[in-house]
Amino acid sequence: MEADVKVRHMAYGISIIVLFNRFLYLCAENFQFSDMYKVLFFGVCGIIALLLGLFKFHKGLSFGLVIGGIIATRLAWFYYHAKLTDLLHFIVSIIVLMVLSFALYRLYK
Amino acid sequence: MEEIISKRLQEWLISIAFMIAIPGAVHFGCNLISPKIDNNEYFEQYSKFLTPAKGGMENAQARAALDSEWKKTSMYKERQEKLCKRDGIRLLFSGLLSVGLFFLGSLCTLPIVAAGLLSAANILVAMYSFAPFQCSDVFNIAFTWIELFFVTIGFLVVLLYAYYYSESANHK
Repeated sequence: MEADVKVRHMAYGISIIVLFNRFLYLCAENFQFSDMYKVLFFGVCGIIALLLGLFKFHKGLSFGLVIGGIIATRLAWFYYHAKLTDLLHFIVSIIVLMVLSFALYRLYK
Repeated sequence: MEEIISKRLQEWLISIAFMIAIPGAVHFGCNLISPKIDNNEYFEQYSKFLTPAKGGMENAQARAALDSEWKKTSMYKERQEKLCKRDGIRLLFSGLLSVGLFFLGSLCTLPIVAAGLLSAANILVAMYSFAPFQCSDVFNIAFTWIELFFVTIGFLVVLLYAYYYSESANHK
């Protein structure tokens, strides 16, 4: 029975990944954010999802938020433009690395 | 033991059947009530209309001019209108059903069947999300807002129940 419940949590995780990223994409497109704001929007939402998934929730919700957060931060790169500052690109990737490192530290503390 | 295995197998089969049957039923149901589009006749007429411009790359300009002329014809407008109606029907049906299935999947007590219902709902979301709307600009914008509404409701339902199940798993 434990395995069955895991399947359900996995389904929730996948649903969250799909809906979270589609939600962010539609928000960014419908509110007509400029490229700079899209990078920030996806970056900030992705990092918040990563933080919540790694430190707050468990099971399907954590799985969905962490993978969804990673995809959202990765999606931010699509809107990254040469004319935008390199610093922004760098900051988002460093924050993601910091969050992941801290989660790993807490896990094996 | 055998009984448990056969019950689990049945659950898996029902779940897989749901994943295939629900999106299939929605797809064919939408086709049934959407206006019929005769693609063969349309492309035949379109090809005839473009015939003077055929003959290679040097005629690209003439072809573009004829193409823009074609977009003014009643046949083109009629087809666009039908495509737009079809997209609207697909969006409304799939959107409403996907939200319903997210609810149903969350309330279902059988975990594997619940996972099947959630997966079917995800496939329905993909059905209306990953096909571009073929309407006028005003309708395209309206449809993307409706799509955002359905996705938001579905996302909130899934978040709420995923939180509920995660919390109950933590307390065990």
